[in-house]
Amino acid sequence: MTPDVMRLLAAGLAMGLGAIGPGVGIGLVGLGGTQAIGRNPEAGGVILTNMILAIAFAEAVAIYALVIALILLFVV
Amino acid sequence: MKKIGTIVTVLIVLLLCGASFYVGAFNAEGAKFALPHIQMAPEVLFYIGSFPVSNTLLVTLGVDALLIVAAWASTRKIRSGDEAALVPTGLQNFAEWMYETMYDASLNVLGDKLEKLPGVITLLFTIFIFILFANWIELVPGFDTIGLVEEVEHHGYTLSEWGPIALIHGPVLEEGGYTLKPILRAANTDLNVPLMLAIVAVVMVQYYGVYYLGKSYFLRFFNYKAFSHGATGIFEFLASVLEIVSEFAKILSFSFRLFGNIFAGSILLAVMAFLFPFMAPAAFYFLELFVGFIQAMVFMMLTASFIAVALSEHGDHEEGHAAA
Repeated sequence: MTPDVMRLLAAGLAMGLGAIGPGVGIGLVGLGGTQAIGRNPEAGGVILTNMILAIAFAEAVAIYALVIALILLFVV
Repeated sequence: MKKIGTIVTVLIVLLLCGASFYVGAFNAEGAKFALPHIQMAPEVLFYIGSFPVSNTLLVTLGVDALLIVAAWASTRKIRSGDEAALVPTGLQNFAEWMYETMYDASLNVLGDKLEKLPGVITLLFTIFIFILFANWIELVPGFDTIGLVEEVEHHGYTLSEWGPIALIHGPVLEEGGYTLKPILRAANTDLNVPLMLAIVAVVMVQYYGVYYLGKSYFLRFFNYKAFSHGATGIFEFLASVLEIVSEFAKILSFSFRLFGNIFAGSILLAVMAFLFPFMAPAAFYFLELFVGFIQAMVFMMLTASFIAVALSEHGDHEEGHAAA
């Protein structure tokens, strides 16, 4: 395999594998958030804000993977 | 009058559709369009002395100017003491609504401490509107697509002249060719802008911690009082030193979160425009509107929650331990 092929493969793997964890995490946050809103619809606003914050934390991990993939593709 | 405006708008839209269809489908005879040039560092447009002026710097200053003018225009009536300002209309109404919404959101996080800290709402609201408009301005047509054509040594594209306009399209040339240097590029696709915002946010978190707690704020980082518990105190002390690392991790995650989202968004829009140019990009424009808003909101709310954490007494924490 040439270095170019390795680079493309590494970028794809970094993004693909790096998205598994955040995907599961965001799913769990969504599950918890919707269940909480279903049980207590009056608190929907506060729950939604906190849910989005928690999603941002989980998503940050995927963003790190994305940055690594972008660096592999365009900088290295 | 209104009818003429509608007709002109429809004509312009039809003209743009026709032009994009012509350029996209018929002008490039046999040549497939190449993917746009993607580069992480911002393109330097020109130098003032030895100071490089990049396209993202231009847009950052443009957003600043836009916000300053909007702030001036929306508070003009209030500052002149006009009675009519008591019943807000138009721009002033919109600004007040946005400010109130963000004030309530910060109040949810900081509670009664919001009023005790000078300038905290100004900081949070400035972060919010700057990031929001810096993100949304990317969606204005012409961003990332209009620019200067320049020759490159590697991986360039072929060029065709179309009247006064030069068009860049494929196939990709391995050696030599041309590339596009966009004049306008969204501010947050340059890592320096999110990094600067993150440093400002984290430094202000420390400032408010010291302002509210005084010297005891630094107990968070050097918990020498833990030694009074005996030998296990050394682990508590080491754990508190780790807090310093977490402050730097905040800068890192703040900046990469914003940069990654917006840079990925601009690539997504470019790729979609090349994959399926006619209707699909509209859906992704809507997605980017949403992402731009969410990221501005998240940056502001996270800053507010970090400030709220910095204000909590270290003593509360200790009592919690004792109870457990």
